[in-house]
Amino acid sequence: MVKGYAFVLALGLALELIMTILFPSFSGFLDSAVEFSTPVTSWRSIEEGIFLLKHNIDPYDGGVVYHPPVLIKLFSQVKDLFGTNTTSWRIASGLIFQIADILTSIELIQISKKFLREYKNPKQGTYTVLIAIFYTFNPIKILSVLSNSSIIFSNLFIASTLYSMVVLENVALAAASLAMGTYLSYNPCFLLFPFIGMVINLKNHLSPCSSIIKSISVALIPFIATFTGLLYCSYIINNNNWNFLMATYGTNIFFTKINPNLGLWWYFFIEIFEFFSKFFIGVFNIYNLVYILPLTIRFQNSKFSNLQINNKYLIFPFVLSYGFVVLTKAYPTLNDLGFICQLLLLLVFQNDLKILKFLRYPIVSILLVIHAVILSPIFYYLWIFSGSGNSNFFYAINLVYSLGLGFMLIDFIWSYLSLEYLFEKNNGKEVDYDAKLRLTQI
Amino acid sequence: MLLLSILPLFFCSVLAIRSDGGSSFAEELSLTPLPNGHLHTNFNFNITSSEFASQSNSSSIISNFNIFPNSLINLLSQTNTKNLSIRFTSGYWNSESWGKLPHDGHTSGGNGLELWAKIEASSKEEAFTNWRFLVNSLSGFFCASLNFIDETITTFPEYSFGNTHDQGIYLLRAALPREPICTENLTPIIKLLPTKGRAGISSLLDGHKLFDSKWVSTSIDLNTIDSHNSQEDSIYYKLVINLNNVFNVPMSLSKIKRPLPKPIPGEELNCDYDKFYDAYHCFPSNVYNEGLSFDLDKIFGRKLKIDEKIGDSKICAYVNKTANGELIPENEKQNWELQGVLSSQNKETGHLLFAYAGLDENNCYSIPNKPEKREEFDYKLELKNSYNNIRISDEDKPKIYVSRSITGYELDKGGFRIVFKNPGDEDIDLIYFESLPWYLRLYLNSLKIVQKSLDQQDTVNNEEIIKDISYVTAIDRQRPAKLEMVMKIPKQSIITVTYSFDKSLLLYSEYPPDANHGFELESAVVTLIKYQESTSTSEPKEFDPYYVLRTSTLLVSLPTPDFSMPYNVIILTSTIMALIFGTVFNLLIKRIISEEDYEKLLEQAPKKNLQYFIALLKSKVKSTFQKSKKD
Repeated sequence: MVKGYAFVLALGLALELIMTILFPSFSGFLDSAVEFSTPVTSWRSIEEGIFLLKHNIDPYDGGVVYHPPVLIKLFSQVKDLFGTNTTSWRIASGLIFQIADILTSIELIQISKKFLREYKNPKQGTYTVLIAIFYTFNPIKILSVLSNSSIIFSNLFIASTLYSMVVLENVALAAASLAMGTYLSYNPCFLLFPFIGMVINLKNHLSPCSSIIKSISVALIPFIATFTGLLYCSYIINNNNWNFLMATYGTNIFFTKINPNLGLWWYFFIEIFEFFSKFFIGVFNIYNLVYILPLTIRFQNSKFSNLQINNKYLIFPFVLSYGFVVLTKAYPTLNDLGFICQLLLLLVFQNDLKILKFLRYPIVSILLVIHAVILSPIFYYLWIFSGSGNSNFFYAINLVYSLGLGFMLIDFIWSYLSLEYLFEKNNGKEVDYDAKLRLTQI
Repeated sequence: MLLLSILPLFFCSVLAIRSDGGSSFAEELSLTPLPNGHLHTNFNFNITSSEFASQSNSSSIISNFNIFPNSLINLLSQTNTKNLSIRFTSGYWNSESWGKLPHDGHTSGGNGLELWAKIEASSKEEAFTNWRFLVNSLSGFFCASLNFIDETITTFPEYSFGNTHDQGIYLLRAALPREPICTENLTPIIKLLPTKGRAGISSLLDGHKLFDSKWVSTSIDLNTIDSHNSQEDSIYYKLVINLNNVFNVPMSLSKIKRPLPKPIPGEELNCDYDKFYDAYHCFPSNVYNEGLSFDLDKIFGRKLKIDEKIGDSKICAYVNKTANGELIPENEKQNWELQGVLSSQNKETGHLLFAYAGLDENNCYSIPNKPEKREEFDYKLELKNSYNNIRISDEDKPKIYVSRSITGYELDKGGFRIVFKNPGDEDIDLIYFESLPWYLRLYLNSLKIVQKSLDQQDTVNNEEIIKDISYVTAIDRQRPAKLEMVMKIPKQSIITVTYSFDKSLLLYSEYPPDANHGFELESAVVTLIKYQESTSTSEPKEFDPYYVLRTSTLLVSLPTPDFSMPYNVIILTSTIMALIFGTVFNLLIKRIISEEDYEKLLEQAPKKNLQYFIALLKSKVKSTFQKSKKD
């Protein structure tokens, strides 16, 4: 059945490639859509960076480039191979993103497969193909790949982190991947906390008396080494100048480029009184981080984490943390939503689909998100193109989107907690999942 | 004592008249009829200061001056400014029908206000500090909002505006495209003149009329010039003021005739008889069969005053060319007359001062040096049949037409489309200068060039057209984007340059009061250049600018937020944030139990009704009471 999912992925790649070739302006159109492109991830910004590098202008001295130097440099090297042939460069660059996305899918499918194998699920093969179909033919995913958004690379490295942890069980590689993801888009650095939690949990399972300090250092040292290495490379590439730090990470932290997007930040900072602006930049940055530690700590030493079959891999706080990072970050896109859906599917298979049974309002939250995804381009059009609506329309849809995504994540937490309750109640013995449960909290 | 104090003043004025010590003043009014009843007038004032040693301090310099405006000199020496150019422009010069800009465009600016200066400084920062001081002072001086010039609109041009790349000299430039140009800008300019608008041609300057014209462009150029003839290191200042106007003569005349906009009586209508015409229909015509005859005071609203004269004063009329660029034959000169009339109570009896014959070979008339008494003159400009024949000679046509427009109708992005049309038979080298505000985020990699010659159209290699590019990226709220392109426009072709930009959202408080009106973009400056034929092949090649033109300003609409929303947004966003966080926090810290267990626990717990609270309160009071008793 390996052939089955490989076939689906190949089909998806072919479809995307055909779309790139047949509709040359489509990726440019998506790149300018606020749902798929932000100043910090847009493809045209990378192209501008390549152009400025070629003309010996410092890309980080103002301007529109907020991508890390290594990425720009790599792309400009690739572009040099194509010379002035713009069509082949366009297809090749599209292919780079498509391959990165396929790699992400393969890694995540491998993780799911491993979970399925451990449960000895009889429908393993079918599920794998279904996952592959969900990953490749998800319209949000296809559109986000075609938009050539650089967040795809960041997502690839986050997926690699999970892959290295779960499939390869290689902590150093996972930490290095996380560092690369962080280097590309800043926000993944928050995942360091759940990642360390994962490492401690894994080490406990491999050798129960390993010290926590050792586990932490095993996770931190490769991370810091890779990250500083990349920063130093960037420093060298950028003509011994650190100004790229402000342009890349500073833009994310201080929210200097206010552009409409799906997040909660932009309209707030347009409308906020200038006097409070700096204070709220701090508040929003804290809000970005505030879910990480509680989630990590809550699930670190719970009995459930230690009792479930796939208990070696504590991916639940990791995935949920990234979900909340996406919800609260400064420049979210629909690409992130697509990736979060992929990650949430991992949780489903980690718990042998039982987590789905305890979702309280899946229809409401999914419909909220779909509602927002469909209406946001319409309301944006009304505001920007036809002038018959104003910015409040689009803002309202942002709120709905955030609410929908938030509820989706909250539902997963609830469902996971319910599973945990059942496990603790029965001390890990066989549980009747189909029994009607009425749970509450005190 | 009084006599003693007056004596030097008298002495000074004598000096001025005699133009001793190198200082001089010359003024000239030139009148050039343009097609379709338009008249171009140019007031030109040239003031030169006396020479002085460059090391001397400003107070001693000023004490040497008599006809040169002291106030400006003070400012220049305080800010180490070597050259200063200011342009006030409003309206549109129709080069398709009016031909080249006056003075080859060197004295006209883009719509609004434009200012550039060469400042001597040890560093860029020092130059900028001086520049800020300069613009703030000039702001009060010229009653213009020059004080709004800050780092967000100031550029350092590389090739344009006669940058000489001298060590320690910085060229700074800024423009205010939205500045309305009106009479209050004129008064300070008149005050710079030694005649103060009381005598000579400056007595004709009346703001109400000057700014009621199709195109107004006022230029002030102040240069520091090294003189090499006399002592070492001696310099002098040269101030050139040009006031250019284009009047629509029939319109100006009809405004005097009918101050209220009443319908024109049928017999006064100038109809185009080639088109359908009857008692109820009349297509207006631009052809004046009887010619046009008018007194200059109708156009300028004032009469020329002659007083004790300072320097050279001339009135010139340039209509000595036909459509082919040949000189008008002597016998046709009668069609074009400039008459001076000494005005008196009754105009009919006023005696003719001079007629066309009174003009010299340059078509100029020198205003008499010593009038018998203080007089007012009236000039009559008569354009007989020839007014219909006025066409622009090929020589006077501009070599290139440049237009710039914005593409795209969406509020979040757009593009520029710049069209260079070269109808001539030779390639043209030019420098395209553009300064754009930071809220337009340029993507220069999207720059595309399309060449259209005669019938075929193809995308050309950028390198063939753009020889060199100097691009400074914008920094938000700190620096505008500056783009200078050295280009070569091939003969008989139309070059279209396009590139795109994103429009940024501004902060709530950064929008001007009428945000949906849009934001004005300053005009692009196109300088036509000729490379100097030098033996050395050194780069960059030296060049001479020979014509300057500017595109019209553009209006760009930015996306706007809803300005009534701040409180709502703060409340709604915070609510969503708190709702999600609260729910998550609740889930994480609370213990999960089944509902049956919960009800059991609830039964065990004491009921929290009013009696419970009263009991609680009683026990508390009791305990404190007992405590105090113990003490």
